[in-house]
Amino acid sequence: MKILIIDDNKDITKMFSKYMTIKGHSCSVVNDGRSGLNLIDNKTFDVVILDLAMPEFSGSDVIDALCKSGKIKNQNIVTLTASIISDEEESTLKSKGVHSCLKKPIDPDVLLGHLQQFENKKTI
Amino acid sequence: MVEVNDVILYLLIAWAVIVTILLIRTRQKHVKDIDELTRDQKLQAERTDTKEKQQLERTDATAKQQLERTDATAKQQLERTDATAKQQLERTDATAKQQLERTDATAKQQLELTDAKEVSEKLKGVAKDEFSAMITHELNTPLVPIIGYCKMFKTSMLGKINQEQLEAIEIIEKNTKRLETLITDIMDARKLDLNQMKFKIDDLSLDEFFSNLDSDYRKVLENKRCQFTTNPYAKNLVIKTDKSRLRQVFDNLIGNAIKFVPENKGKIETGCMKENNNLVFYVKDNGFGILHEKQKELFQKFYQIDTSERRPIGGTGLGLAISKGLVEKLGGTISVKSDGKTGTTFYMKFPLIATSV
Repeated sequence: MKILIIDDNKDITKMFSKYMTIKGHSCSVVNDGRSGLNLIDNKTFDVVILDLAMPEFSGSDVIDALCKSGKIKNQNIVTLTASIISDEEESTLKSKGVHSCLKKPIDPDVLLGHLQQFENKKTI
Repeated sequence: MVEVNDVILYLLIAWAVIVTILLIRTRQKHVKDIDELTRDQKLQAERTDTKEKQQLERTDATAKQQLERTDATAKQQLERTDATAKQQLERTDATAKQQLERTDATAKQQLELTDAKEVSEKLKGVAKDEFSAMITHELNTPLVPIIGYCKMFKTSMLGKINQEQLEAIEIIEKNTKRLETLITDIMDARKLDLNQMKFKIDDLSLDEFFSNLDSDYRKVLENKRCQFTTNPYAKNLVIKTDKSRLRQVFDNLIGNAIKFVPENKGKIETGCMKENNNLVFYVKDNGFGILHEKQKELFQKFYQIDTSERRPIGGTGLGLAISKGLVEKLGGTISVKSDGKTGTTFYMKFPLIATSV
């Protein structure tokens, strides 16, 4: 599975990418929203793990930009945040095209289990 | 003839003498007069002088006096002016000071007001999750790599580990879990305090609820030689409640019971029964009980049973306070029954009016 992790916390991206790589997945990592957006603009991943709370260009900004360009339709996105998000916020994100919203902290095994559904499920 | 001549001569001489005398006298008189005049004049002059002097002196004195007076007046006026000016200055100063102070105070008040407004806005924001979200975010984020690397070590993803290392990792994991629970509990207690806790009221089948409890706890506890039983006496009952919050209360109470039951011979029983128009849930354990005088404090935040003479029992001290808050928000009441020796039972009573059969 080709996974992109967008999170400003380098400890988290390092840990997740290590875990996913050992588990046999190809993992790309960026630590800011804008770089993440550039990567998604150039290629499609099986799934993008997107942190919502990032400085300057947040996960929400990434989602809005992808909505604007229409690319969100071709990209599976799972948000992962340590913040509390209300049901309203979650349904707003989902209406914009986010697949699911996960909470930090999360066991990497649980996260990977959740991501399995995107394997072999090629996006159009 | 001589005689006549002589007489004439004599007469002339006599006349001359007389004239001379007269002249002298006149002269003398004149001189005297002049003298007198001079004296007079002198006197007069002297008098004039004196007078003048006096006048001068008087004038001088007057002038002096006047000068002095003028001086004094001027001085007084100056002083007055000075004083007035001073007073005015002082007044102006004072006014300015007052105005400044007022302005300062107003500015301060406004600042304080703005501050207060901001704080209250912030607090309102807090109510809308801002503060909680921020704190939750900052506390939860560091847990992600800790949990992740524990998992990797434990499953030998980063190389084989020995038994001692495994035990160490498990201790880190256990404490991380405790920290995670603490963060959730603090946020829950906060939400309850701020009346921000949201509930999803839905149909809940009690049979399903207890069957879930059984599968989640029985085997795990049996491995620890603790008996776990579920007794849903009120069968086939479907109630309207928030099932995850009700489950949270049960998890808290069962979690407490696990801490207090005797090792290897613990007994925990959960169940529900109909009692008049109420539905009563219970969690019963065979722990060392809670003394009557301690039972009232039990539901207060951060209250922990004194365990000095007993085995150390951890916990956040928030579980029961949160349980009480949740039960009350769900329309029920929570109570405890214990003789302080042989076990404790917690009861949660909900009126059946709001529930459907």
